[in-house]
Amino acid sequence: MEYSIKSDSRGCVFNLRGDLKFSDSSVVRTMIGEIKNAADRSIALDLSGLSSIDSAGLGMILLINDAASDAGKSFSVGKAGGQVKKMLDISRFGDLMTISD
Amino acid sequence: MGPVVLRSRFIDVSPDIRKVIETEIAALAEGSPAEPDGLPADWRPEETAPSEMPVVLCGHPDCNMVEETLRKGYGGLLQVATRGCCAPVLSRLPRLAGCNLICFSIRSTDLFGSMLAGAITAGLARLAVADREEASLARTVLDELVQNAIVHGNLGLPTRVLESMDDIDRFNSDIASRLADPAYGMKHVGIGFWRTSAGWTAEIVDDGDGYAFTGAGSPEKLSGNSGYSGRGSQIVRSLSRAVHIDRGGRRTLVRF
Repeated sequence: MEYSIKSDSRGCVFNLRGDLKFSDSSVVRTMIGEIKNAADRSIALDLSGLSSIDSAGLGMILLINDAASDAGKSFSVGKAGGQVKKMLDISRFGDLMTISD
Repeated sequence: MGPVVLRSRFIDVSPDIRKVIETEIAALAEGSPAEPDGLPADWRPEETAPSEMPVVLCGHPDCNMVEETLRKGYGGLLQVATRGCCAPVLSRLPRLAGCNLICFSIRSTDLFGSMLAGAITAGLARLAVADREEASLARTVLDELVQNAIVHGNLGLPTRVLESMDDIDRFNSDIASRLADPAYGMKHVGIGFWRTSAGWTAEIVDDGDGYAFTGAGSPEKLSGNSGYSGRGSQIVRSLSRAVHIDRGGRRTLVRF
């Protein structure tokens, strides 16, 4: 998985690309560090470029959510499609965090 | 069990494996085959049409896996080496679409997180489901099952609640250590794939001591959305038409 960062009306937006799975823990650790240090108070994950996610990837999104919360920032996930959207739906992530279309 | 097709193709088959095959062929020819491997009736392969030759595709096959596969109905054995064999596997999978039995037996250390695993699960999912998005979900199910078979089955690592990145790093470190230990890493995962009257069935078998889909990974806990791990079994149940688990958790059957 790769990601890039930009700022827009949603705040600090992390655009994720590729596949998010168990082997991406080091990338996610780096992301969490950047979220903690971001000047923006709002953090958004744009998943439109994410092709797939596995159960470990879902767990890491929860950890990112926790890290943003611990840093006093709002957090949202959006623009998921296909397999990624289905995985978020069946895991009921909408009950845990803000999911936007 | 379907009609026996007494055609076999051996390519670089080890003596042990060949002995198993010859024993099974002799039993089948005498009309007294051993009992199938305990598959529930509605999960067994369709009867083999004479024009179709089921294919067994093995990477570093072990005797138990070959024996089980032969008892499901057989016709050929195509053995390929693992690591570096992704291209042959990928090129053969489309041609296997007309077959009704495909089987892989691969060591954990060769399979975990490998391109080979991705090639197999993606290829099988495309055979089972025509729709691209649905195939992606079928592949997700297979990936989760293969990973569970390796990590919780063959490597004997229990499901943990991972509450921090440090927990994840420790878990990944434990996985790497066990994979490097031949006592764990050399254990096989069997991936079977066959057609039934109700659709394609996938079978994932490990060589471990078994594990339960309960405890930290139970659907009950997951429904509360409180855990950071153990979602694999919930995902498998949600994305499959049917799931059957037996042998103390060592074997999972899913239907697409």
